[in-house]
Parts: sequence; structure tokens; C-alpha cells
Amino acid sequence: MADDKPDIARWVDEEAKAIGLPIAPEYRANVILNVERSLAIAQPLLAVELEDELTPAPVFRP
Amino acid sequence: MSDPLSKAATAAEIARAVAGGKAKASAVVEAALTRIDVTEPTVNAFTDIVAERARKRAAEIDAGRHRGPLMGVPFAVKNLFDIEGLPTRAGSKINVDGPKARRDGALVRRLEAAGAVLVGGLNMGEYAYDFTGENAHYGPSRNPHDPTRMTGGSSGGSGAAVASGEVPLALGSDTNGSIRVPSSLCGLFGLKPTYGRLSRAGSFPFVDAFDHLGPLARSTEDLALSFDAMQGWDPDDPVCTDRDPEPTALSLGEGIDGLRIAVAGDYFARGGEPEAFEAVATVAKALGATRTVILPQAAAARSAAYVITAMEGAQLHLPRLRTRPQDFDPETRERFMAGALLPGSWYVKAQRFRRHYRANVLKVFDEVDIVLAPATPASAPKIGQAMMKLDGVELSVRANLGVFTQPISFIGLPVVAVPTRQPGAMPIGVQVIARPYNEQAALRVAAHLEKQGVCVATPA
Amino acid sequence: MEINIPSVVAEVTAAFNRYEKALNSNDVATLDELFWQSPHTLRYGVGEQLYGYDQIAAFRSGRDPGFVVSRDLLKLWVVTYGHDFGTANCEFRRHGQNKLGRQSHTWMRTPEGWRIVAAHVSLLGEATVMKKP
Repeated sequence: MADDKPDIARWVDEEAKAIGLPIAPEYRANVILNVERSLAIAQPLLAVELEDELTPAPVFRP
Repeated sequence: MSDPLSKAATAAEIARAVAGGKAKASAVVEAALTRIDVTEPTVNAFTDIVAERARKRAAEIDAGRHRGPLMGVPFAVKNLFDIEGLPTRAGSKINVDGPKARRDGALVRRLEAAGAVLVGGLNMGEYAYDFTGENAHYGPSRNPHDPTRMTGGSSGGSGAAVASGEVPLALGSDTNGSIRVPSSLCGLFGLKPTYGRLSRAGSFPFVDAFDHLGPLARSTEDLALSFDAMQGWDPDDPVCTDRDPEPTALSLGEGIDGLRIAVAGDYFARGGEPEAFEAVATVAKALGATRTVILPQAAAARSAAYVITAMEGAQLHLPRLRTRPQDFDPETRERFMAGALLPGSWYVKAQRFRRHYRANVLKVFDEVDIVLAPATPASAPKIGQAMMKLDGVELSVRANLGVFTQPISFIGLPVVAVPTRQPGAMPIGVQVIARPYNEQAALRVAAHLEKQGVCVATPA
Repeated sequence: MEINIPSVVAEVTAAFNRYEKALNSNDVATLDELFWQSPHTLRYGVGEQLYGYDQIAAFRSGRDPGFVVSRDLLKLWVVTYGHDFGTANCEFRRHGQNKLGRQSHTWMRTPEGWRIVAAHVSLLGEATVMKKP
């Protein structure tokens, strides 16, 4: 993970454009920090291997 | 047996006194309103007080027009519950500009149908994305046991109102810990029921996957009485179960015989201060529980709960983040914005992992009936405190107060938070966790602990 | 012989937790400390059989210091016998591996504290099925 660390600032800038969320300069640094934090917190989930047969927990009933 | 007009009176005591003609609902409500007046400068629990409505309702009760198991009991609700005629703040500034609620939320109506009297709306962390009980618009709620310390959140006002004795009963919400954390830090009994057990109709949402509503109180009987009064299918809430109500109040005193009780090990036995684990050990000893069980991959469960929360919460607020970012609490705004930027594959994976984790945990509940775990990794930090030391590591308060609650609400298990307190120390809670729809067992265990004097909630 | 005296269960569980934490961080000093310093001590690892404390310590010190056991605990089974003896067994899955792992510890109370006197780690393999005659 350390080798392929994403450029979080670029991630934030581009993704914000993609979803149409303007991020004012005074908020940007904190948003970057929180995305970084999220990436760290997500690691245990990202490391788990799931079997193909595992469907999402919520089930839609038409 | 407390004077029903005093701050120490429980809901059950008040209801018995009013039903028995020993006290007037009007007197009880007036006493509560006076306490609120006097105590608010210290604890800042309330954002709205509906005094006239409450007095009117109390007068109706005294005129014989309403009866019920919670007769005359003053209660308050986190301000994400709809209160007729008021905008539903949900801890925000933005919602105040929105429409006024046309009617009370479902649980508010049900408690009033049981004879209780709503006195106001309670402070909370903005849009519930909070574990501290602080709020930039309304000020922090303060821990009645030490007003320099936080109540915990996001149901901070609920914790403060009950722990200070302003009211005996409050409703909160719990998505990743927002009932259990303030219950722990304020020394209260709190119930986060099974996901879908109680109707969420008429409340402002946060994370559909995890939002639960439930009571905070100073006795297990009060939790049981209010829970029983609120159960039942609600067609207005698509998530609400149509399972028949399962009353808990009458079986509360049945004791713990036959219950297989274990302590959660592994993830739940590390990453916290000694006081958190000592609290669990004290409760386990009182219950004769020696077995350790593992909830496998609990760390991944916490991650998954975090991801789903960040992403669902962000998506809900995206229009507001676009148009009124400056009106958000600085403590929630950038966290919501960040949540909007996370990869969708994380969300899908989190929901798939959820099925896997749920299956594994339900297997554990084939072997035991009750699992004990810490409610918070530490007792109440100071208001405004950003970092705390957990097991030697400096960690963010906001991100970590819910480490032990998140993996449990992730799969909607019912939990009773029970208070413990060492002499000279702040309170700290323990989670009494049961399998889905087995609130009855968790409440019985809590009642047993209360009877033994191991878990007691006295007003500050 | 009293089985599962609560305080003894708590002590052995705590000792197990200490060992697990040391495994997760390759804290060799703690891993060495928790094995009984005796020629009677035994450890069957997944790939080796070690007899006596010296062989076990040599094995640990011979390992790459970057070797960290990253695994999910699935089940823990602690039983204690009287005041000075206990077994701690667990099921686990190493990250990135499919096979179920099993670890058995036999713990003894010594003047220096609880110590592992025998340990065995194995992976679940094909069961031998004996057909009924």
C-alpha cells in the first residue's frame, strides 16, 4: 500500500469536480485530511477477501 | 422510593404516583420545567422547551383524559425527532430554515399515548455525525458529572438531560453508538434496540443502514416500560419490523438463570484504557461469566460501518454541502465532504462483508445468549479535547469514541448500555449485547446488575 | 480438581492475549518470555517440531524480523484446571490464506508467571475417513 499511495490532493480535486461538489479553498485541506483518514480506517475492510457467492446484506423485494 | 417531584424520581416511580393519585401530572411537569430552568445554564441539554404544550397535556392527564404505564412522566427527545409545529433541527442551523413538522414523530406519539408528557427537544451533534455531543451552533452539552467534560454524542442533550435529573427519560438515536456513547460517559442505562424494532417515522435520518432510535434512562425498568410502549409495526416506516411487540417490563426481574453469558475478546479486549476493560470485568464477575468469545474480523466490521456511514451520510447531505457549506458545523462539514468522495466499490464491499460478518456473529449467538463488551474505550474526555491516549497510542477522540459500538450496530444487534462507576472516577459503560429481537434477555441482565448494585444511575 | 475458576480463566486469557499481541508485532522478546524455559517445553509449528526451550528460542531468533503474523481470530476456547494449569485453543485464519488454522497452548503457572509448556499450530487438512466395515 505504501508504494502505491494515491495523491490524495489530486483525488479530492478531481473527484469533487466529477460529482459537482465545489470545495472552497478554506475547506480543502481538511477534506484532504479526512479522505486520508478514511483510507486508513478502510484498510481492514479492503484487506478482507470475500467469496464470490457473498451477496450484499440488504435484499431488495420488488 | 423517590419523591415523584424530585430529580431522582424514575419514570416508573412517577407513573405509579400519578396513577395512584399521590401526585398530579401538572405538579410533576412543573417541577421538571423548573429543574430545566435551573440546570440548563450548566448542562445545555435543551434546544427547545415546549412548556405550554406540556402544561396543557399534564392538565388533560389530571382531568382523566389520558392514562397509561408512563402516566405523567416528563420526557424529552433528541431534536432530530419531529415535534409538531417546530422545525426539526437535527443539530443543524440549515434545518431551522426548513418546514415545521406537521406532527410528532411516531415514537413521540406512542410515548404520549402511554401517558408521558413531552417537554422539549434536545441538543445533538450536527446531523448525528458525532460522538462528542458538541455543536458549533448550539454549544456543547456538558456532562452533569463534570461540566468541563463532554457528554458524548451524538445524543448529547439526551445524556445531559437524564443524567442531570432534568427529566427521567429521553429518546436518542444510535447509528454507530450515539445512544451508547452518551450513556457510557454520563453514567446512564441506554437501549439501542434491534435494527427495525422501533419506528423511525417522523425523525430526520442520517444513515438508513444503521439508524436506530431508543431510550436513555436511570433505571432498567424505565428502559423496559418505554421500549414496550414504543414497539409495534408502523406502515410509515418501511424498515420497521412487522414482528409482534415482545413486552419486556414484566419479565425484567426474572434474573439471569439459564443465560449463557460471555465476554468479547480480541478486538474488544484491546485499544482502550484500563478503565474500559475493568468495567467489563466487574460486570462479567457479577454475572459469573468466564468465557471469552470472538466476533471474527470485528476490525473490518468497524471499517465497513465507517465507510457505509461516511458515504450514505454524505450522499444525503450533498445538496446542502453544495449550496450552504458555510452553514455546517466545521466539525462535520469536511467529514461529510470527504465521504462524498470515497470509492463506490468500498461501499459495495462493506455491504457484502456485512452479510459474512452477520453470519459469523449469529453463530456465536448460537452458543451464548449475551456478549459483554466495553461501551467506550475511555471515560469522558474534556470538552474540546481533540486527542486521547488509548492503550498508549494518541488517537482522535471524534474518530475513536465509537470503536466498540460500531461493530455491533453494524449488524443491528440489540444492546443495553449499563453504567459502572469507580469511586472518584467518571462513569463508564458496558455493552450488554444480545441476538436480534432478544432485548428481553439484555434487559434482564441489566436489571440483575442494577439489583446487585453493580450498575446504578443516580442523577448528578 | 476445580474447572474454570473465574480468576484463573481470566489470568490464562490475559496470558493468551499477551502472546497474540506479541505474535501480531513479532515481539520476539515477549514470545520468548512466555515459553517455559525448560528442556521439557515443546512447540510443533506448521513446518517444524521443536523440543526444548533452546530450540524454540533459536527458531524465533532465526526468523526474519519483518515476519509478522497477521491473522483473524475466529474462536477462543480457554479451560483451566485447578489454580496452576490451563489450555488455550483457538481457530484462526491468516490474512491472505484460505486454510483454517488451529493453535493449542498448554499453560502452567510458574514463579515467574504463566508460561506455555507445550504448543501446537496446524492447518485444517483432509480428514481421514474410515469406512465402516
